[in-house]
Amino acid sequence: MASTSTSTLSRKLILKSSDGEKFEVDENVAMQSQTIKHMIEDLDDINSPIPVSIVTGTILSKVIEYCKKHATEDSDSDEQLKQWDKEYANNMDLNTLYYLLLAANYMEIKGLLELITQCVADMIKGKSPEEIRAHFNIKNDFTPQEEANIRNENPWAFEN
Amino acid sequence: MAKSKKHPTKTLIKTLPNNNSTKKPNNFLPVEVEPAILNTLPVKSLLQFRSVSKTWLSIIDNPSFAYSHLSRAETRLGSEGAVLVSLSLSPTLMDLGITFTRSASSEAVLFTILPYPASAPILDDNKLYNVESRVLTIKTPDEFSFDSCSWRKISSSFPYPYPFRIQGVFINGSIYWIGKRAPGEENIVCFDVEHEQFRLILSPPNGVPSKSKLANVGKKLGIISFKDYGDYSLELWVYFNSKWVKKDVGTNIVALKRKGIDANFASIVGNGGMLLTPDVLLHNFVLRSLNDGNVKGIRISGLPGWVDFLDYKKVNFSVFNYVESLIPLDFTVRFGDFVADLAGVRGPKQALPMKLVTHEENEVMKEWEGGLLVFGDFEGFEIIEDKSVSGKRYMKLLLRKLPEKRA
Repeated sequence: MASTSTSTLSRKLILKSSDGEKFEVDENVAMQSQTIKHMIEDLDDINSPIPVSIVTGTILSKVIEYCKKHATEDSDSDEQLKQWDKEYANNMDLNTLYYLLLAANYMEIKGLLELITQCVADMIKGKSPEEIRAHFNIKNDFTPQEEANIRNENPWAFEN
Repeated sequence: MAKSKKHPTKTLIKTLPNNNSTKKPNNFLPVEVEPAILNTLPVKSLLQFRSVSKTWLSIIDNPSFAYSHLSRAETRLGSEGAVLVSLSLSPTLMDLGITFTRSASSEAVLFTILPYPASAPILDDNKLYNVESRVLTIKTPDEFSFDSCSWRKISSSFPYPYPFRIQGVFINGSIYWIGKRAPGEENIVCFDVEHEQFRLILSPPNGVPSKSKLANVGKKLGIISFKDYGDYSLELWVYFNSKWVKKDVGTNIVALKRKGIDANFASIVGNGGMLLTPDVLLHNFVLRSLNDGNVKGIRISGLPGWVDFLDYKKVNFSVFNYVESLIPLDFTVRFGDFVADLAGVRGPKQALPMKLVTHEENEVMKEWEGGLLVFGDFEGFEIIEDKSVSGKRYMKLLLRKLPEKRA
């Protein structure tokens, strides 16, 4: 009942991704992004597409999926929503996760940012520095001596 | 520096952390979100990851990162309930107990400095309870500030003639203490907050052990007892359906002893974690999960100093929860013959300005905006109304004078 009445009352906004894809979404869905919320306040013409300049269509569709789920109030319990979040995050490959993270950061969607950050953090927290470099393709720019010195500053952190 | 990207509206131009256009092409992790991810990691991982690359080293070593990491950890803790660190220094010698709490709803960090005799404060979500000897008093957060002391006396009189031993715990609407009914006869006393009534709880089968501590174990009353001799055994009993049930804690205290870690003091922290600490204040702690039995060693520095009087060194404190942080807890400020140990944990934004003052000369040695200090080892605390210019209040901290050196 609540969801149908809000969707008919709610204004529609058009979001445009960096690669030109357009998405029509309810205002209350888009407003979860603080960035978009601030933009709407400044906009004179609400019907013109709102450019989300660094987010691609693929990623933006995922972002919208999240926002839609979290825009419908009182349909799900907190528990169900948490479960949904978990499955949502687990279904992403690493690549998608990172771009989603970037998008959530840029669009200022707090819940999504928290979710993805935690998900990535959980993946990497047990890893060694060597594994991290391999994982993220980071070049070790320390000399062996520099690296040894840094490790020696907190030897306990490298114990099990 | 120059922003080359053009955005249709000014609100779209945002500064992203570490935004630089010279992003390494093969770096899979977008630089903008590196700090965000690192922010959620445990301290141990962060210290390891300092050696990943120069970029990661610079992110992690940046003081503002350390603060944002701490504030994130605290926020997360806040959603799981209030944090309370309660310290009661040696009851015969020191006259302060400090509680420190952060409520889930606001940024506020509250302190209260409790008068002698060292009392046993307990906190649940709404109220702060305080027990002084045989009088129980209740105070709500509304009136909770540095200087207000409007405690209410409970009309029902406390039926046990001897004062409580150690801290009480608050569980499901009742406060529990170990109290004495007669010398040598210890009992568990329960106070029902809603009905304001005292009653006695059946003791565990072998009585209340002499070295024991009450704890909140999954919202049930628990009692942890330990032997600091022989097999160094540790026992945990939980009160459930009016019966005491022994829980397997499986802690091999003897093994811990061999590793050089004292483990004869215990408290329950956070979600089913058990903190084992030494009796006399050292800095080695062990955090043991009650769920999976994982043990990790923790080194904590910056705790308040202990009192050294006739070789009596003791600090009695409870840890109810903890956060991991990169920020060192202790740094000692020294001005000539005066010292203070500050614990460098960030406090509330709206905290009073602080002034460090020498005890005798009343000379201001250092002052700073409030929000940095949480607790430290001072000669004393005082809230001062500045009568001269601003009329603002500030907090005066008295420095200790170093003992005179003898030739």
